[in-house]
Amino acid sequence: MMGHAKGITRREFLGALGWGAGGAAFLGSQVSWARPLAGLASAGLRSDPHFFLHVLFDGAWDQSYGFDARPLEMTRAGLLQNYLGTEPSLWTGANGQATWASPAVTSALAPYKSDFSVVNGVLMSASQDDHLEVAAQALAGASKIENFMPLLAGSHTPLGTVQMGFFSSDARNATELVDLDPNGALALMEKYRSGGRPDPSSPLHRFLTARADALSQGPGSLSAAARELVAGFERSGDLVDKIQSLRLTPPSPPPPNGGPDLLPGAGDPPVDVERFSEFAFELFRRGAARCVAIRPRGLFFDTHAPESAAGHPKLMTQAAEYVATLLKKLKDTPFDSTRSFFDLTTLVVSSEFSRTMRQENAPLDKTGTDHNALCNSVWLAGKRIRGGLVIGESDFRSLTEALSPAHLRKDPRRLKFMARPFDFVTGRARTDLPAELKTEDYIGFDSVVNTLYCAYGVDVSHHRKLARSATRAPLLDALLKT
Amino acid sequence: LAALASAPAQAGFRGYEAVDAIVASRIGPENGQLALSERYLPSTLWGLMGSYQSNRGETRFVNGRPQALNTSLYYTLMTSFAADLAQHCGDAAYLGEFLHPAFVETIMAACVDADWAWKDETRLTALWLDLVSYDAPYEELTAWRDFLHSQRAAMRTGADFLRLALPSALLNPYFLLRP
Repeated sequence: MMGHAKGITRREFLGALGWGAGGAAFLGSQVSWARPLAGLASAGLRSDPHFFLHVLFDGAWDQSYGFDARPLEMTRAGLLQNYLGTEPSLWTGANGQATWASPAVTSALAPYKSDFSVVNGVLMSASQDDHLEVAAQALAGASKIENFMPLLAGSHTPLGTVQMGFFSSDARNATELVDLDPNGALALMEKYRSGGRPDPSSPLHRFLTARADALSQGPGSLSAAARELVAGFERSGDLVDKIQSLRLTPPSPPPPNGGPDLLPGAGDPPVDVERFSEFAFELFRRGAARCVAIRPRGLFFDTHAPESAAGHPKLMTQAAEYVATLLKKLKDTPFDSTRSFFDLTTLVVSSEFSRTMRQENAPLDKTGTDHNALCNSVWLAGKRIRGGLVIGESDFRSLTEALSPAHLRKDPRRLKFMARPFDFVTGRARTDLPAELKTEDYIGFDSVVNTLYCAYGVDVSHHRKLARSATRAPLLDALLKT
Repeated sequence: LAALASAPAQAGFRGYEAVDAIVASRIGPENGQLALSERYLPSTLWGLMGSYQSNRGETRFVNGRPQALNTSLYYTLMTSFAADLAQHCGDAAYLGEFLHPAFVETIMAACVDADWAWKDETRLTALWLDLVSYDAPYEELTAWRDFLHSQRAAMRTGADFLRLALPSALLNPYFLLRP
């Protein structure tokens, strides 16, 4: 924390308003300034850098190799495939709640145990289990019209949210989701250097903006697009300045097909996490974007076939190493003289949903795994997030456990584990066995998003509602640092 | 159903492939191919200007909603095209490699005579129709002509004229956007 004398200089004040050194610690220590600046913050002039990183592992991971593992007795009883064959260990959170954790993830992530929290028993969907459908609902809500990341990003940066990978683009605010990877940014910088750099002060640029503005005055969809085009022209100068200020390492080899280096695919080498973090931090540091999301290429978890399911433990190990490296980079990379990127960035790690314990009618040593949207794990860390916690649970954690009628209705063949109902007041999983699945009884991704909204000060009018209800999805209060 | 699934959800840029194809059909050579994006931008950037991408059986039109990045890319694309023509103003052989002979003739005329556009008002209209055709309403043509007239003092050579006339037509929103 920075210490300050009573008086503050003009430079300190202006610094606090912008992206440079200062920020919340500074403002918090200056009571007389804090009140007017709070007003400025609500007007969009945020003084406290708060970035967001989202890692979305592609294809739905198997939690039983993660932080929602099961003892081997489940495997010996023929219920749960376990190609790792190693007993999980107990992972106890600072809040006293515990989960079984697979060695596939603990070896890489144990050093960061106090930095991140695990939310288990996240009900992704009670009715859908299609990858893109569930991912779109998670990212943009049940109505799929408002992606959560642009709301975290606000309107302070020309790029808003940068994403790498195949994300839902249908949301109403999709304009603020920009596909760009380090290779694309480098190509752009080179192109700007060699000419063709937009110049907002030029007569040509002003004329084009005026023509787009003229078209934007109408009521139709073309006019709506023209309004976005006007905004695009108006922000392009700022964008070019910030893109040109990025300091990036040289590009990696292009993909074999020569196309955009954006899509994940089985067999691709994993995206270099070092390069990704460097890119994200540069975008943050230069004020080009506030949110960066990635579906890492080469880590493809959709292991339906037995052969690919056998490789799932390795995938989870790679995912854990990816996240551990990212945490290390966040902590080791200074944003300014007093704060690291970990101090200023909230990190969320998730996948579309989880996987079944086995496939029906397949021997346990030769089974693949299918989709399970009744459960998921989400890992959170960084700014405004309390680390070291375990929150929520799934069911079917032992041979003798009675499953709820709600579970058996959704999973009559007992192939899945499912989120347990959650008491949002006590912050603990409930032990009752509901007869019916009511989404308000469970941690949904909407609760995770609303908790993020709270952490970022997003207006409550944007908070997601529970399905077919006017009630806002409850917050995971325990996660939030006060 | 497949067509519905792949339809763009919102109005936005036509996408780089559509723009390339339209420009090629209007001013490209009959037996060749003019692909502006390929010619003036690295492949890494094409998909960022609006394109169809597939993932596990689902195809979507992505990056088509205008924002700062794709807007700047279209700007860069069209100004690079104009700069190339301006740089080779008068080099009919070079221009003929990737442009239709009739369009080369127009460019050559503009390059040889700095006042070419101002001697006959129909020339500007013809150039507009070569580039934009009837994609934009008449008011856009008049606005474009007025703009060029307003910049006449700054356009001392044919190359100057090309640098301004081509992108100010090809970046017209009626041409770039689709409902």
